[in-house]
This record gives sequence, C-alpha cells and structure tokens, in this order.
Amino acid sequence: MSDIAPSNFSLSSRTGGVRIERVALGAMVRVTLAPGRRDIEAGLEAAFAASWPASPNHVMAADPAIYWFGPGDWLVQTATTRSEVVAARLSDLIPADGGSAVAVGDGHVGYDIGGRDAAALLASACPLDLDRFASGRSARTLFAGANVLLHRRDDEAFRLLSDRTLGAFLQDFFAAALREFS
Amino acid sequence: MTRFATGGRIDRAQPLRFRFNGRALHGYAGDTLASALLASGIHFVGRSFKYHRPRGIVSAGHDEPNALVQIAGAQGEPNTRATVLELTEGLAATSQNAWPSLAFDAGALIDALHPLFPAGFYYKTMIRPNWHVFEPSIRRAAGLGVAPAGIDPDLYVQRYAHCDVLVVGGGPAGLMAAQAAAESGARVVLADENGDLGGTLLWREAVAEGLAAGAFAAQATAQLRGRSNVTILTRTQATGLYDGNYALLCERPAAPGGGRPALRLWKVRARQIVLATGLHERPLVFPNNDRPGILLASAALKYRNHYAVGVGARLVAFINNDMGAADALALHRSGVTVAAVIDIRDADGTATGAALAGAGIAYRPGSVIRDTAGRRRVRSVQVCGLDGGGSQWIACDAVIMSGGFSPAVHLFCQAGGKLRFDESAAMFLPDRAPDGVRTAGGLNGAFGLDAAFAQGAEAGAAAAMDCGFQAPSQRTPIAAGKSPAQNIAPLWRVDVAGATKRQWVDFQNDVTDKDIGLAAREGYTSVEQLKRYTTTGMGTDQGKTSNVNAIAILGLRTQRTPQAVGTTTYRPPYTPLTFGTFAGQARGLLQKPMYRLPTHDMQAQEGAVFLEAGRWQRPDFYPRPGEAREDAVRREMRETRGGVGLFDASSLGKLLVSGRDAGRFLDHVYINRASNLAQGRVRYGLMASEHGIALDDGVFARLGEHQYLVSPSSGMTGAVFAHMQEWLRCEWPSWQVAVQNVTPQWATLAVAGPKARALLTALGTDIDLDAKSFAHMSFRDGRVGAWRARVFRVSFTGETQFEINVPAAFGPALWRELRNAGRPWNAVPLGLEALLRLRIEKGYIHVGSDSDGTTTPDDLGFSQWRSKDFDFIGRRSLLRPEAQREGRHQLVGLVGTDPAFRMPVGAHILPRIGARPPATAQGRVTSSCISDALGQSVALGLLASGRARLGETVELYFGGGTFQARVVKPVFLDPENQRLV
Amino acid sequence: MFLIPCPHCGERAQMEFSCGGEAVIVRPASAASDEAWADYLFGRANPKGWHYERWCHVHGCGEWFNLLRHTVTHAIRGPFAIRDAAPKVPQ
Repeated sequence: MSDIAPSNFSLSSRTGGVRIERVALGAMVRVTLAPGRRDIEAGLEAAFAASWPASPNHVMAADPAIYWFGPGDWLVQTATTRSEVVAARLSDLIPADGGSAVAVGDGHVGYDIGGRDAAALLASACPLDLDRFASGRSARTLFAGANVLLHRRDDEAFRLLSDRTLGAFLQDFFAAALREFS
Repeated sequence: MTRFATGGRIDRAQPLRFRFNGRALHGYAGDTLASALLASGIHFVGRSFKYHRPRGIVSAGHDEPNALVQIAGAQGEPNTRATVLELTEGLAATSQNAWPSLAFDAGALIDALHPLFPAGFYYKTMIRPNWHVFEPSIRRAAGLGVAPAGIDPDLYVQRYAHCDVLVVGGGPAGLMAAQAAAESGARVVLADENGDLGGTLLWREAVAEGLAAGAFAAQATAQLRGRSNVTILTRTQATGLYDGNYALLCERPAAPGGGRPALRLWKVRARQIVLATGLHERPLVFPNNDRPGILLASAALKYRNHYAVGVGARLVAFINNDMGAADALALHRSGVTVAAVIDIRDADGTATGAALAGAGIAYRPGSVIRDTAGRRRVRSVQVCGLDGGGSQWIACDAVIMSGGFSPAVHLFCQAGGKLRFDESAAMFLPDRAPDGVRTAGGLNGAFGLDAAFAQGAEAGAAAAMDCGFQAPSQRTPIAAGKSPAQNIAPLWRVDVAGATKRQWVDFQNDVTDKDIGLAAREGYTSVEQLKRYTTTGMGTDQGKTSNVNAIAILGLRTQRTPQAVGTTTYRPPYTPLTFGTFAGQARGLLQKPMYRLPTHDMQAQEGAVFLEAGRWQRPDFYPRPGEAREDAVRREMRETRGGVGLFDASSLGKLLVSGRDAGRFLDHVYINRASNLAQGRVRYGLMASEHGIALDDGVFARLGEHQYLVSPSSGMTGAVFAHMQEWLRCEWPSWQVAVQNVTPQWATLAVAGPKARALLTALGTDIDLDAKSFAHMSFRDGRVGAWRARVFRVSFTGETQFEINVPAAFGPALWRELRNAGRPWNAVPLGLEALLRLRIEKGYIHVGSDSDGTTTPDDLGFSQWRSKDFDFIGRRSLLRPEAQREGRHQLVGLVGTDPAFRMPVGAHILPRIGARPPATAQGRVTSSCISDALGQSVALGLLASGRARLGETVELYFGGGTFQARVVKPVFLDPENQRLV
Repeated sequence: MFLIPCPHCGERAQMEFSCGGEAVIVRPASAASDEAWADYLFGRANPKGWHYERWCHVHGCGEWFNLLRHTVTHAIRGPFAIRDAAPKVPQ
C-alpha cells in the first residue's frame, strides 16, 4: 500500500556507525488537560502509578510508554493494546470538561536511530546538547527545522517522533545526513 | 632554485603536480598553492581589481589581499586565496581579473589612465542617464572570479556542538588555554585553521620546556588529544561570534570526496570563549609598494621555515620595528640573503643595527623606500633619507616589509568587544571584553612565548572556573630566551621629497593614500564613509592587512588619532564562506520541512504537478497528455461543476478544543458565536486579531458539550494554534480549555460536485446522505466503504461536498476506492488551482489573498459580530473610528468587460475612468479567473466604499495597460446556494 | 542566537522559541476610551536596557513565560510566571 513514509524504511551507514529504522508505533493517545486541573493529573498519576512521568522531559519507557509533552500534555504509546482501548481507559479518567484523550497513532512517525555515530547524526540538525541528554530523557525540539520529540533510550539509541506529514521529509533528510557517516 | 633541500613541514616523499594558468608545475604535500608557486619562483599571480596592476603574493595566510585564484572544474571556486589553499594532485588554478592572459592584460590600459579614475569616480561620472547603464561593463572590468555554473557536487554538512570553553586559535596561547581548561575538567573545543596545532610554534624558531618549538607543539597536541573532554578541530576557521557565545566554525576536512564532506559548518554553543587569534603583520605604505615580490616579512619567514621556500635570492627589508628586523635576520641566517634593511627609525643605539651588521646585512636607519622598479617582479628599490637626500637604488628580487602588527580583533569585536588604540604599540587592542569572552597572546598585543603561554593558561583557567570548575593545577611552560620587544615607530605613509608615485594602502581594492586624502577633502571623514567611498577594507579580505593603515592615514589627513577615527564595524564572516557552507544538507527539497498529504504518492501516480502551498506540497493540477496548465485547470473546474471532483483536503487544520470553557473561548476567538451551535452541526467562522484585522476563516464543528473541532485554513493551522494558546495561557489562564492539534492524524478526502452524493452511495455508507437528514454544514459519524469515518458537509467549491475523514494511514486506500466508485461519473482529481478558482466563482474569500493587514471583517462583508453583546478578540478595535470610517476598502466582485481577459491580481483600480498613474489607487484585484461556467472574466477585489458602488464601471491599471470592469456583489455563481443542497 | 531558559526544559536554543513582545500589557475593558485602547494596542516601552517580555517555547513544550532581557547585551534573567509583575531590574 502506498504510504507517505514506507514502513520498511531503513538506512545504515556503510561503516555501520549509525542505523536508522522506521518503527511501528502502535497505539498512541495524546492527553491534554485544561490548565489548573491538578485533580485530573493526580488521578492519572494514581492510575498509572510509577509509570506516569513525574517530571518534565522524561519518558517512562515501559508499556505503555508515557512521554511528557508539555505542561498538561502527555503522549501514551503502547504496542500491546488498541488505541481505542487506551483512549477509552484514559477518557474514563478525564472528564470532558477538563481535557481530552484522543488517538493520534496515525498522525505520527517514529524512527530509531542507533549506533556509535547516532548522536553525531542527530547533532547535524538538532540544537540540543546531546552530551547532557541522559538515557530516559525526552525533549521536544527541532531536527532540520521539523518539530520532533527526541527520546534517548540509551547511550547509542535514540527514538525520534514527529508528525506523519513530515515522514517523507525526515527520511530524505536522514538519507542526506547519513552520507557524512558512510 | 628557491626550494631548500631540507627543512620545512612539507613531505618531499609526496610530490604533487598542478597547473597554474596552464603551466605544469610541481610542489609537495604540505604546500599551499602560494608556497608551491613561490618555490617555482612565481610571485606574479594576479591583476588588481580596478587598475589591473600586476600583483604578487603578500602574505602566508588568510589575510591575503592579492593572490586570489579561480579553481577549475565542477568543484570550482572563485576568489580562493592561494595562501591557504592546500596543494592537491592535479589542482588547476588560474589567475583572475586578467584577459586575455596574466602577462598581457588588456585591462591594464586602465592603469595608464588612472588619473581619470580616482576614488568614487563612478559616483561622480556615471550619474546620467543612470548607474545601471554602466554597471554591467564596470562589473565585468572590475569583477573578481567567476561563480561555477553547474550544481556543486560536493557534500556540505553542519554540526551542532556544545562546550564549556571554546578556544579559538591553536597557537602557543590557545594551546595553553585549552590545556588549562581541559585540566580543570571543562568540556573544551579547540579550533585552529591549520592542519596542525601550534601556530607560530611551527615556523618561528624558539625553545620551550627544552624542546624545539615544533616538538613542543606536537607534545602539547598529543596531550590534548589524549583527553576525552577535548574536541580538537583543525583545518577549522572560526568565522563568526554571535550573541550568547554562539560561534560558527568552518572546517575543511582533509581529502574531501567519497562521502567525506568538503565543508563542515560547526555551530558551537560555548559557555565561555577564549580568543587566541594572534595578529596580522601590516604592510608599509610607500611608493610603488604593490609590485610582485614585495611581501610581509613574517610571511617570508613562514615560507622559509614552514615550506622550505626562499622568496628570493637577494632581499631588501623595509621595517619600522624590531620584530621585522628579527625576521630579516632570521631569514638571512637561514639562507635567504637579505642585502639591506631599510629602517625608518633613527639609529638609537639599540642592538638592532649591530645585530644586522654583525650578520653582514647593510643597515640603513633613518631611511625609507621612495620608489621601486620592476614590472612583473620588483628588481630594485630606491632608498633615501627622511629628508629625501642620499638617494640610492638597490638591486633585489624581493622586498620584505614590516609596518607593525594588527591584532586579529575581528571575532572579539563581532562578539561586542570594544577596542582602544595603543599609541606606543601602534595597534588597536581589545579593551572591554563582552561577558564570557577572554583574549590571550598576540591578540592582546603580546610578543613572545612566555607572555602567550601565561596569558593563555590564565584565560583558559579563568574560563573553566567561570563554568564552575576547579582551578587547574598545571604549571605554565617556560620558553627559553628573552621576550622580544616591538619598538615600533609608526610610518603610515612615505612623505619625503620625490615620493611622487602611488602608495598603495589596500591592494585588493586598489586604494592609495591619495584616494584617502581625496575622500577626506570631500568630507568623507567618518571611517564608515571612507570605506564606502573609496572601497578600502572591502572585498574578500575585508582589509585585514590594510585597515589600520587606512585609519591612520585618514587620521593624518584630518588631524585625528587612530583612536579618534575609530574602526569600521566588524561583521561576520571573518573569512569568506561559500553558500554551500550555509546550506549544508538543506538543499533542494530539504531546504525546509514540507508537509505531505497522506495520499501524496497516489496523487503523484495520478500525474499531479505539485506546488508548494505554505508548508504543504499539494497537487496544483493534473495535466493529461498534451494539456497545458490552463487547459487542465479549466477542465478540472468544468468536470467538477458538471460531475464530481475529488481532492485530498487533509491539509485543512484540525484543532480539538476541549474543556468546560471551550464554547466561551471560541466565542472570544471568532467574531461570531460558537457556544450556541448544536452538537453535530458545523458553522463558518471568521477570526480577527486584537487589532480587528481578519486573521483566518474556516469552519468549526461541535463534537460534544465541551468539545469542538476547529478547522483553520491549510497555511494558518500553526498560527491559529499559537494564537489560541497565547490567549489561553497569557490572558485567560483560569479558563478550562485544552487545545490539541490533531491535523496529521486524519486523511480528509473531499468529494465535490452534483454527482458527489451518487458517488458516495455507490461506494457504500451507512450514513443517510439525504439532504434533509444530513444537511449542508453538519457532520455524521459512520461507515464509508470499509472504514469508520467522520463525514463533514462543508463546501469550498460551491458544490455539494462531502469531506470524509479517516485515520491518515487509510487515506490512500480510501482514495483508490473513491476513484473506482467515481468511474461512472468520470470523477476527476481536482488540483489546488482549480479549487481556488471554483471558490472565486462562488465569492468565498481566501484570507490573506483577498485581505491584507488592514482588512477588517466589516470590509469583507462580515458584520454579524455587531449583534454580539460581549467581548471577543478584536471587538474593541472594530469600534475605533479608523475601522468605522467612510471610504474603507471593501470586498467586491469585478466582472471584466472583456470576458476572455483574465484580470491580473494586483491590478490597481484607478480613481476614475480615464485617469492614469500617478494617481491614488482606489483598490486592487485580489484574486481572479476566467469562469467557463459563467462565460465571464471574474475577480474579487478591494475597492474604496465598494459596497456603495455596485453597478459602477471602473478602470484598472496593470503593467502599463488598462482595462475596465463592472463592480458587482462578490458572488458570481449560484447566489441562492441551490448547488449546495 | 542566545539561550532561553524555559521553566520546564531549561536552557534551550533561541530558535525553539518565539517572542511575544512586552510582558504584562493589561488588556483594558471594552469600555475603554479610544486613546486607552490605542495605547494598549500600540504603546510599548521599547527600552534600551532591561526589557520584561514574554516568550513561548513554541518548538518545545509550548509553555508561555516571562523573561527579563537586556536589549543591548542580551543578558537574561528568569523565567518568571506569565502573570508575575516585572521583578526589580538587575544593577
């Protein structure tokens, strides 16, 4: 099936220093709360317990993985449950007058960028200080001018999320940026 | 033979062949083009910019004014400085600014006519008829190199980097700064323009810590390379320092090609910066000082020691300071014979004269060079006393000069540093440094290794400590011998009897001391005016060797000190950069992130010609074989009006607005009401800015009691989202509203036309499509084909239209099903151009095209807001007298008198029929098309008091011609909306 | 060029932010005079020196906040909450 960003997209440098693969993100639900609804947030924290990211710019990377996106703004991602189910579970915790939880899995693309040159490749177009970006951290930032969320999974493994509409652009940019490492 | 058999840092085991102006020559790995040319006895490498005078190599670094060459081939580059260009096998370079050849240049005739071309001559003589008549031939005569015509095949990359301490310059001061900062634990980036760290340690003889200078540099380099917290960037020129200690460094990696980039632009964010950029030697300004073979003393020494090249067999030195004397002596001792040293200073009993005389060099204190001879290479100099007496010609084949030194303050000043002129050192020195910037070594006017080591170490340690690191425990290295002293006596120009020939200040721009005098006489006494009037300090070298001389001479002419004259503003880049450097990977389609529709690939298969519309790549039109754009667009319009058209409308924004105060919030965001909209219904809304100006329009739907879906126009989604967030966060923070941009989640495929309903029925849906149960401006959830979908009944075409929303991944499959189901009615893909023309026929506005930054909702015909009795964004501004006044430009329709003439967008409406420019425009055409459906030429436009002028015929002006149109209501097709049912 | 301290994300590159102009401009009630309204729309301090202004981490977490920024040196103090009055200007 024709798609804007082929799901089998995969690139690696000849020297093996960096490998980029599109990942299937599974179900994703974006949770957005009205400001001041600490009550709802407390409910979410209680329901998800330790897997709810307590501080900004962190990811709880279990299943579901929960990304802090901004104040009152999270992304819940799981490969094991359908998004309708996740959205329904979250909607139960979020009264309609205080925010929303909607499926957004189709609106995103994700790439795993790994290898010893992974950080250098990202640094070709991302202004973040990756030396000070520890495992488990996430950040919404820019890559090649595109809004992305970057998540450091470990020293040499990053995951980059962005809008599906930018998938083709990002893949072309990855291919161009990779030339330096081959 | 000018290459010495031993010594230098060249690799004699790696000979390289190259061509210069077609002549086959050879050099070695480690040579620059300049050193290889000098090794072949070639000084004369180019012609000057204005007078086409023969010019030679002046420097041995990035400050070179003369030796600019053109590199041949696809990777060709103009204006390349031969003094920094590394020699490579097969390099082919040519001189610039010479035709037909360097030796016989037709343009040199200009030099004979030079009295006709003083500074600013073209400002004075080429006024009539106007400058543009003369410009092309002047540019040809005075041009520099030629830009390569083809696509640059090289790889350009960029890299962000972050550090605690950035050290610029890897000479003795920079090395110590990097070591000290690294020792303390700071993250250090050390950048140096050369292939090896060490700076002058690599070619000035000295002993440090008991090691020869070169060995000491190698040891220090090895120590730094051994540290994990240090990044060493060699072959890297720092070209810009910006606010917040943000630096641009330009790296030319070794051996580009095969995946290796030709250039890497480093964008470095440093908490602290140590500048150890050294100094540039200054030429002396004396008559005929521009002949090939006349070069800087330090450059001659660098050619000798770094490249094992003697710049001549018999040199004369002209100096005004002891550093130049020392370099002359060092050259002489190393086998480059210096016949005489001409020193403008009086014999004052210092050791200088004795040392030179002891080495067998004729020393002439209290003397100047009054003239030189030699057309393509200097062959003699005329020396005389300061009183003009005792004149004597001395034969030579090269002249080395030292007129003092100018610290390389460029980056320091770019960062906001302030300078002071030190009269005794005759140099502009860093005075007040901006926060987080330190200076060390030659940049501070320090001569000698001890000072460089000490200042570097101190600056590096202090920078690290300012980042919170502990003071390093490192000991500062000790250099052997006494630190040299400059003992300069400035000589800004030769002013003795008989000094009649032109004295060149700026070699690259052919500016003489007389030109500066002329500028001063004509009142261009500000240094910035001087630069622009005479062009001194412009060009590829930006006056690195010439500026201070020019400033001092302007000072002499206007009785001011150099401090009082001041310097021109130092701006990035420090050295020239190519466009590729800035572009990096962002070439072609990668220039900026472009959004693609979910069905992009399918549209490509349909034969779409794509268009950049804002951030989106969208199908503009779908040409059939033999069809021009206009034909295709009009066919798409006809077939949609007559049958059914399909388009991917996914670029329309989708903002989910949720929360208790969502309705109240939208009541404030739109000029019309949102909170009284029934669930399941859709409404058209117009937003205004707080200034009362139309901001965007679109539809919004009520999904639930506390939830709305807002659909901004394609190009405005990000802006509207930001607008909403700003108001929520900054003005109404207690309102319970959450906004989410869910645009990328959905594929929105639109079916428009009289057969739209039939097509959807054929595709199969459980939604009752009957117009009574599913009316225009409402939505339904249900199954469409194989998918669960949300279907909106809205229209931008003026036809019955369904917009089917499915998750983006299903977009392509749904498109295919729509195409199949549409076969019986010849459903066509509808491009953006046809869509935009269909909406013109219907009078649907496009905010930003049919409005501008002064257009209010009232001007566009939207006055519903007047019935709203409460606040909304922009309301109070709409009540201001300006928004209410008579004569505002209002939206109208225009029907062209000639039905086949498309009224040009931007055509001005004249104040009356028969009027001609200059005249105050009464308005303009904002969008237009030929309507096949109506057999008319129609347009939307803004017209002063337009709504009161319906029926009037107006005359319009565009590009020299005029045409007429009738003013009508801004709707041409189906004003009763019968087609929307 | 400079770094902006986001209340949630810490110091980030300026390119991730957008500036919303002078902070704490009070929006008058609709009954305000034309003059008062015009001053609200157009009147700005535009100082040479410390300027209290609001920023949005638009390419990051999306938060709005206030900063003190020196318009000559680009020295920055903050962040401050969006409703906070301007703090005392640093010496």
